[in-house]
Amino acid sequence: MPPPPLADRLLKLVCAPHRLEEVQGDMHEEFNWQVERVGERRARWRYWRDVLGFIKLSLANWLFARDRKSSDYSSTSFLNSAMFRNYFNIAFRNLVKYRTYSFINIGGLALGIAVSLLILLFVIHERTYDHFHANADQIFRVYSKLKFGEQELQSDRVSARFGPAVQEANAGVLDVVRVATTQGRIVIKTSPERKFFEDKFILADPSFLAVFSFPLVEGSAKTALIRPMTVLLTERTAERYFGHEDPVGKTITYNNKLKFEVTGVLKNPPSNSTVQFDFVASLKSHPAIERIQNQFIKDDEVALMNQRVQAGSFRTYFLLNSSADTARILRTLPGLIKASGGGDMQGTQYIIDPLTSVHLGVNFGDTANSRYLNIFLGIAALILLLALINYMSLTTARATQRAREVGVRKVMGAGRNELAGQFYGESMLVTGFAFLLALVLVKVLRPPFYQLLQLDIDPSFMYTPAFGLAALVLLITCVLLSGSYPAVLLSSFSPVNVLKGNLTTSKGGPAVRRVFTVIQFTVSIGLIGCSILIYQQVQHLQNRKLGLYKDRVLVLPVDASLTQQYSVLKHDLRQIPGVERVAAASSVLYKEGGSIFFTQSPTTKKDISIHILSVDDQFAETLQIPWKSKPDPTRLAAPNTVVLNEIAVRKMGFGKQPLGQQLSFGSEKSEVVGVMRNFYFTNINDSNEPLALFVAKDTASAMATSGGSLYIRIQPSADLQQTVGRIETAYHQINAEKPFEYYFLDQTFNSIYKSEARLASLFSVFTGFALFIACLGLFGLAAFTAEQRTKEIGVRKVLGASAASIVTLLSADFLRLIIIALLIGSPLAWYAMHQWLKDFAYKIDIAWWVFALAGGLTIAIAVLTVSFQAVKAALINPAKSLRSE
Amino acid sequence: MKRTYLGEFEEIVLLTVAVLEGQAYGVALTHEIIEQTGRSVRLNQIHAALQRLEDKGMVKSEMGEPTAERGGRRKRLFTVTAYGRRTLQEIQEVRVSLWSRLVNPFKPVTSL
Repeated sequence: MPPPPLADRLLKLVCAPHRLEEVQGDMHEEFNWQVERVGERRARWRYWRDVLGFIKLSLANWLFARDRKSSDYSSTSFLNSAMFRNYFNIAFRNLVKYRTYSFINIGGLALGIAVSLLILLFVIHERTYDHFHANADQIFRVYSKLKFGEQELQSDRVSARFGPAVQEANAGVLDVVRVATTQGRIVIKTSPERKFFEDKFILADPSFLAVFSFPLVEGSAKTALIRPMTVLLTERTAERYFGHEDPVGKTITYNNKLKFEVTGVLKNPPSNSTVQFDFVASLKSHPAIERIQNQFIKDDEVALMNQRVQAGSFRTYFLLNSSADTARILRTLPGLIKASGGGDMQGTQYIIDPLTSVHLGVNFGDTANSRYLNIFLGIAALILLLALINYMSLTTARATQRAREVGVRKVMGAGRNELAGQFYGESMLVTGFAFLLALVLVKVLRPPFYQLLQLDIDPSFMYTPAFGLAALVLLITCVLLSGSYPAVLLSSFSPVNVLKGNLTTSKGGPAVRRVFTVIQFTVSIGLIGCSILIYQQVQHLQNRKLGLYKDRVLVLPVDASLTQQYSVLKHDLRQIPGVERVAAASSVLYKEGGSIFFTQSPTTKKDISIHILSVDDQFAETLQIPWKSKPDPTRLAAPNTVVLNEIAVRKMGFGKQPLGQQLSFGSEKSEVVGVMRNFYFTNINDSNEPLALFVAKDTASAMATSGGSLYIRIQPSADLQQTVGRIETAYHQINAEKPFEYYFLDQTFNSIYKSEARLASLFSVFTGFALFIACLGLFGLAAFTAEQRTKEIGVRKVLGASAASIVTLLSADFLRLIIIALLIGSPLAWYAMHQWLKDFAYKIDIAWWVFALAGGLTIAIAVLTVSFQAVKAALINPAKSLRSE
Repeated sequence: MKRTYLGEFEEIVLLTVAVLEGQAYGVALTHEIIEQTGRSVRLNQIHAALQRLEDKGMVKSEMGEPTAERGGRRKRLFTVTAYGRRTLQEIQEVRVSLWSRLVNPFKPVTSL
């Protein structure tokens, strides 16, 4: 019967080697005896307890070492209390004595760790999306793929019958949740003062509360979401509408038409959830909402009643027994679709993937990007590396000051292991300090940092075990790395040389330190180069010629409730001084996805998907979109006519004769009456696509009925704020039901590049940090070199050297290193950026001057850093520096 | 020479080492002391005490023969040194002389 092996190994570790045999023998004998007496389980417990007792014993021996006959021990143990106290003392005195170095060391390291922690926090947040659900690995969602012509279309919505039908046909499906979202902006009202635009209003099956882990604060999960016209609020929403009152039992008004009864309050969904909501209404309310949009819909035509298994309007999630069920479901699916008479387009393909893979996978319009995550992680690692290198190079540079100590310790009989242990321990101490400081920094820097990067992360995420573990791993890595090189180098000094006083600076250290400096500046220069290029590319994307005027265009969404006053509003707006033109279109460009129609080219018979935009006849003039062939004024805005853009004409294969061609959209045929120049309109990150514009008369109020937007161009000379204020007044004068909300066209356009812009700001912030840390290190090294060469400088000055020549002498060394770094860093940055830019259709060329600038900038900063020390050294009176020998 | 201070527990361990006459090692001592005093003694405490006693020169030790139940490991067998014996005797003498000066020896207590 062997005792617990882990405990045994632990015993071996803590027990003095020459005592191990008898102690272990005793322990084993005792163990066997106890097994017979009290049984194996309790004997194991006792064994563990006894081992812990021995650990306590050896700890006590070590901390409060009593005098022993030294012959009892083969060598002075590192874990000897007197020595330990001495190490601690010396370490502490050193930290206090060389305050600047300590500050640079700890500060630099803390900054590096803090920045890495912040990035880690972000990366872990992204990577743990949807992992918080209790049965996260059993939740799957379905989406469809469709190849249409050259385009691939994806949709994560299926018909209402889809989920239940799949559940009935497959035993492995434990539960189904269908989630519907509302279209466009809705207004929720509880009182005249409390009405807001809402875009996170979802409708869900009662199983929503069972399958997902969104806990209820109030209300019962058994009864919630069962009755139609009931709704659950999140805590934040409840507070917004009801303050501190209890919302349960009260009603909210949806778009001024429907009343929902509040039956409960949900905890706010975590920021790392793909299912986001502020309101969850029962799915049975869906037909009522559908009826607002289409009053004449029959009972059996509403989406919820659709008995076909096909694509549709409900996000559908399955709770499966195991992931193996997905294949089985997909096998039964064609049968189900056929039996129900589902009418999907040819080539539709359904895919079921785990919920946890959604965020970084096929996520339908999220800004997440797993490749950028890896870049972020890489940057975090680089900055941490810089900080650690900084620490190592400063510590070893100061080694000469500790060399005598090492020498004396060695003469007194310290072995290399003890010394290595001592310096490792010292590093641990400093790293520990730095880590604590970093935690404070993280707390302070988090809000501005995430604001800058436009990240939305729950503050409570910092206290999750996942992040705690990552922080711990980071700490251990730092401790291990930071101590390694200094410990090896410092403990290697030969006592004879050191004590003779000829500790030459050539001893290993400087070469390695030079390499360190080169690495640091390679990284800095690389990062500077990358951030300049990324910034350029983002600017390039945002300033590209769009083919329309976007700079001072205010977009004002309107809706059906304005139908009556639509003309009045337009008229009023045109009267406002500062307003140049007013037009209307069916959507907010760059913000809302338009609709896509499928049609066939009458000449080539090819299937083509085409974007549709309804506009009024002022649109082209207001946004200054030029015509290629301007339609006859009588034909523009006539019924059954359409205007195409140039790409559409090309894709249709109309050649030079687009006018007069007939195109069918659904059941209607329309004649092409004009061609516009291409202008950029989608929020999809790439080049132009075919577009068909249905033009209506300026006076037609259809634009309001279908929920369009007004485009108000403001004169370049007008005061923007004042004009917006006047527009707001005009808007309120017509007693609009909806709150006044507007966008500027250039801002909505810029937000398309949110993830690129985020990368750009991230890069510039981190480049700043990296450069700062590198300069801290350089500053320390320069100070140290200057100090070491005090005598040399004194002699040079006595012999007639000028201050300038001494500054050059001290700086030249470092400059050489930075130039090497420039030579290494530039190609690396070039290569990285080349790879990144490959993905853009519309991109900049990498110019050589970017790297020259990066190098120049770095050199300037480095020279500034070094010369501060160099000048100080050069100005010392030689009489002082040479006085004592 | 001033007598080395001996703790109460050390005294019991030292006495038990003497009682076991050359067969004293960790486990045997633990069991003997548990049996005789009824205290819950643990192996590490015995080892600590033995180490202290050896440092003070009151016991000496040598390695015994390997036995199977210890996985072939040897025992460290402790014996009391002359100095240890004298210390024990001195303690005993001090106690006896103090007891003898007690005017009113305690009566055995039957109920408490």
